[in-house]
Amino acid sequence: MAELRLRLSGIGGQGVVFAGRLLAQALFEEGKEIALRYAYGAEVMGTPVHSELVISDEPIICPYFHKADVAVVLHPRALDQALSALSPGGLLVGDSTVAVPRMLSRVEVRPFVARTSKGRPGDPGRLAPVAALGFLAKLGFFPLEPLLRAAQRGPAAQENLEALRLGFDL
Amino acid sequence: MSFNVRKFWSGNIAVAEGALAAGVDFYAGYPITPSSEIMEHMARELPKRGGIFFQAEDEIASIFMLIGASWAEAKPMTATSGPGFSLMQEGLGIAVMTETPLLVVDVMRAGPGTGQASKAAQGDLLQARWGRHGDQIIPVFAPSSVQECFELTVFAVNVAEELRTPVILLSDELLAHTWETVRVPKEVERAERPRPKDHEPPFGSADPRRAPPMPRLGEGHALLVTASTHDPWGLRQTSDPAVHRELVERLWAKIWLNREKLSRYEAVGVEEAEVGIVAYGSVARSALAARKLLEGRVRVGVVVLKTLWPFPEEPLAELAQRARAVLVPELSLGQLVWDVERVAKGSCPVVRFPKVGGGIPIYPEELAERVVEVAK
Repeated sequence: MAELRLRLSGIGGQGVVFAGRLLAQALFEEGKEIALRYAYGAEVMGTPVHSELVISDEPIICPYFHKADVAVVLHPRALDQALSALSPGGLLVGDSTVAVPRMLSRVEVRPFVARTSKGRPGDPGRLAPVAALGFLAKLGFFPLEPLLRAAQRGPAAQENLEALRLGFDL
Repeated sequence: MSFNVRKFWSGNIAVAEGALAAGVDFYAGYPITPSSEIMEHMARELPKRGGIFFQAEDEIASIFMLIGASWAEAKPMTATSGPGFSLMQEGLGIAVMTETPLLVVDVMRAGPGTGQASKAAQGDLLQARWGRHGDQIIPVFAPSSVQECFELTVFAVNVAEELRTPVILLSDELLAHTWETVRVPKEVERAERPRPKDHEPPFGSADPRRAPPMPRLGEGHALLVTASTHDPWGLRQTSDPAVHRELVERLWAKIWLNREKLSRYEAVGVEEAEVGIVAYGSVARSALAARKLLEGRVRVGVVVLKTLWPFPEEPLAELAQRARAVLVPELSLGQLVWDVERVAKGSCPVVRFPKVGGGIPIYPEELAERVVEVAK
């Protein structure tokens, strides 16, 4: 696999950072070279956050990138930032609640439906980031199995496994 | 070197793990982003390994606790960021004068003052070198990958012990919070501080390259440890100009004469270079990526500095001789560039590439664009 630059964007509270770490850990355990960075600072519930990954079979020269090959947008508030940092010809995977402008001609847009988790009041869409990983696996960017293995750990294992399958089956 | 464990660590965790591998057994510190994960990791790990972790009331207390711990037989370290690093300068000067091995990690963030907590910057370089009053050198090292965070921390602790000196490791927020694969070696070489064999002075050495022996606590040495000018036996001599000159020259020579041994850098494509780039820390990764982006268009030579002080002059002098111009990208208004200009001695133009604010990296693409402009 050539080097893939992936940015997940959403808002604080959704689990965007968690999803980045889950994917990084899963692929690291598969022997991939991974560079991971995520929002660090005063970001709080409801403000834009992101996770950035470089995924490669070879040692990674530079973990820092501006333009992503694939941008996953999980909340309308994160859209503008994500669009301005997407490579020409890149892929935008947008949550179906994100109104992606039609005039975009230089990016491919793949909407998916995953933001609503369990209808809990105030839930910012906690299923969306992990479901997006399942959707990216379906699109062939990486295999699903390592994600399923990595998601078996932790207190929210069941919910995360369901989200991965939800995204994969879309 | 053979490796037996593959880990996925952040830069901060790799620094902490490197310190543990090198035998650090005392940590005192005050939490400050973006260095806090180093402290958190040491708080978790040190007690399990028989070490001592102490959260001090501030950074001034922390650095002095390190000095005390070092004289009480510990291998000590702390980690901080800009504001805390400023507070530690007095203690670092005293550690130089008392020849006390210790490690200070400064994970740089945007300053001055409390600045932008906690966005990346490289504005502490000159403070790391010259932050203390008086004539002094403290070795300064700077990793540019998570792997190097581990390896250079081990090296830094060993240098501190062998040369009986404080050592500074300069990291930055970008590197500190980047997670990458680290290949952990099976065994890590540990240096020990020199010890007195017979009746040797604890602050004098016949060989200017070697640190004087550091007496072991509890072995009956009548020891005086003072930051005032002292003779080889530690007796204060604050009126004798010759004693002061000999002491300060010896403290300087102990580091300076070992500069080749301390010098670490990576030189890529220097012999063929049309344009050179000199960088350290996280920016060095972008420099190497810019070189790759320009393959077939511009021949770029990159020197990645891992030792910042004493300054590795040879690779830069060669780069400046061969290249039409040398570019110095930094996350500051320009600090490294002064030394590059000094070493280049006018043999080619030295071009600044400063970027300040917001913790945004210098991206390979913008650096490559500038290289193309410079190459014209």
